[in-house]
Amino acid sequence: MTDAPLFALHNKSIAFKQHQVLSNISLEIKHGETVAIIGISGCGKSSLLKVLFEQQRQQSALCPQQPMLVESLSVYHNIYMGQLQQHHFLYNLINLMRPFAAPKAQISALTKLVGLEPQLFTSVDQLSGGQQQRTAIARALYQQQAIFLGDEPLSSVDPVQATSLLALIKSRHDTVVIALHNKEMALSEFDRIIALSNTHIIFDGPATQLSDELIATVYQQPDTVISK
Amino acid sequence: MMDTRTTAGSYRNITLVVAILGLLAFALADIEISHHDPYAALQNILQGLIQPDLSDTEYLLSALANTISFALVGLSLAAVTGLILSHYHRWPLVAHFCAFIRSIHELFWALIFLQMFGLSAITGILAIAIPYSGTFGRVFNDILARSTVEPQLIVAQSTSKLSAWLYGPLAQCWPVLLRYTRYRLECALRSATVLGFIGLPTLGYYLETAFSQGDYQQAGGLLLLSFALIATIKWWLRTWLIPGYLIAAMIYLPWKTPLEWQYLWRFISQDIVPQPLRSADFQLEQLTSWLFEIVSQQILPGIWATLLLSVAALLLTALLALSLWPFASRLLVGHGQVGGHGLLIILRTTPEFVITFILMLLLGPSMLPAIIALALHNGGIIAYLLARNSEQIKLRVDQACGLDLWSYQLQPQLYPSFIAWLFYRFEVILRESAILGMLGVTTLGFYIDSAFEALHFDIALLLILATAIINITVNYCSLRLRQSLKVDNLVLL
Repeated sequence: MTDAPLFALHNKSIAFKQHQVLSNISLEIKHGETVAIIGISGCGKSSLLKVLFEQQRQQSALCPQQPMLVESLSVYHNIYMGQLQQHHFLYNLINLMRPFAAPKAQISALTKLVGLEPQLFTSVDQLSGGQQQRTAIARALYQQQAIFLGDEPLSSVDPVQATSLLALIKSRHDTVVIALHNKEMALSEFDRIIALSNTHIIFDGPATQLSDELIATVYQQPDTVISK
Repeated sequence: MMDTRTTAGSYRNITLVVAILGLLAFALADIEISHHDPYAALQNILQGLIQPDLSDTEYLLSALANTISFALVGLSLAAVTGLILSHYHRWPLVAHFCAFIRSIHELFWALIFLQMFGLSAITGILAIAIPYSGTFGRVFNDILARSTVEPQLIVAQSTSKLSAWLYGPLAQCWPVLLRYTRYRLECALRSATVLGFIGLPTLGYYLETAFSQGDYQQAGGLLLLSFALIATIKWWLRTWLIPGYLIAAMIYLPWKTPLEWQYLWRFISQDIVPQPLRSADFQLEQLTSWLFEIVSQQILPGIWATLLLSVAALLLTALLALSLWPFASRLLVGHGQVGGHGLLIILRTTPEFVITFILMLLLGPSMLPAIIALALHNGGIIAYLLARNSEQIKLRVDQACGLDLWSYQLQPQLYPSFIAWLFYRFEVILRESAILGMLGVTTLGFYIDSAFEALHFDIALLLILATAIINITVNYCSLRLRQSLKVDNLVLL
């Protein structure tokens, strides 16, 4: 494996709905890193993740903030979507009506790991928010990619489950980049923190070097920005 | 000064416009009751309904089987075609094509195909399948466009488009698509019934025969049968039974009439070519005077009558919908809603065409039967939708009750949907108004029917084209109006 970074942004500005959310930011993420992106809502975490996703589409699994599940389909079918490309359309069509044994065994094992085994054939609209989020994580895991990109993938699950799910995500991906709100988890579980505030990266480094003062700045409501 | 530009203000203005135009239309329309003794006629019909004659089971069963077969086969063909069309609906050409084929009523399509294929199964199937494909094309597109799943974000990049579409938007919207298709089957059964009025062997054919022979008991039986057919859909139509039904329908339908290729060819190559163009020494002058005569003597009077009828019917539809829905809402009348609901089901299951036909027997030929029929049917549908929606409104624990609840909480919250549905139904009313001309009101359908009868197929086709243009124009205006009032997204299914 070469040392070339997987992701690289140089003086990049990112807009969301014609509104600039990040201006002139630069960063590099290398193979093998686990990175937490922190910042208050609306600071540009999702937009940044989407830009990263575009850079490594081929080998990334994305777990978007809106889980984008197909409510009328079962947990099984939603997870199966992670590997749609590996089969012919007709195989997928038949699987929709009558699940094949092989994917069923794989997905069933996966649901055991995320605690959704009893719901394997429950349609997603009957699940709680946390269960839906775990379905979306399982779908991303089922893609079996090298990189995991998650946008608040654990916001609706309880803290104990969140830690074990994160461990599962880390064990199955070489590189993990997750945007999250929970700063305790960011500090304890990730090697590197990228903190966004006021359209800039205000911190990028090991979790151990992040001071309380800086954290306070990150989570400060940007009153000043709005009043400008 | 207080700012009075509330959202309700714009609804008030549009309501005022509907009211004024509607009253004007009523003043100008011919709404005379010309039957010498409408009560005796009513008595006869009621008598027929109370003592229906359903003894001759053989023809009843065949009429029933034909009606279902035409509806099912036509609709299935339309659903598949519509799904394909919906995929390309973002191309303006396809969108215009869909708008065009659905702007021509199934009865007009049937009249055209009748000249080409005679009273064959093909005529009935195509007459339903073609306009319904156009509607499915647009509606399926609208439904699928609301899908919140963006497959490109959650499936691998190399996934085939078809697979991603299947598991993404299509799977997500499947229940809505199914519900809509089911609702359209109800419409297709009504269409198939009405196709009988031009000679296909469905319920409408026997209904017309029975009425015109004065056999009210048999007519009553047929009428009740057609209600029962639609009211019981949910019991006899199971998804897993559909393939079986389709095969049975294909076998049952009357295919026997052989295709007469020479008639077909003559129709396409000669009959529909404008008459002045057919002569060897063609002069432009002849064509323009031919056109001028048709436009001034048939198209313009036809359009005027069609609009007059539609606008008058729109006002009555609005009044009926607003006054009927509270009686079908659990929140306002409690268990009394069952009765109200039953009434609305009867209103919306009877085709306008059949109600007009019966009312003309009662009241004599004028616009009045058509206005009442259109209002009963469409008012019934809107009232049903309003009642259903009223039950989804979230109320406070300390809500008002009775008339206060109605006037302060329910009606104001339902009004935007009401406006949206009213203008959406206006498109339907206009399409039907043209068709009702075939029963004698001088709307466009009257001139079209006369042209077909006189074997002037060139004129008939020109008139049908004029009808299509008027429909497309009004649909466009109605859509823009709904968009400007920001109620377009409320036309849910």
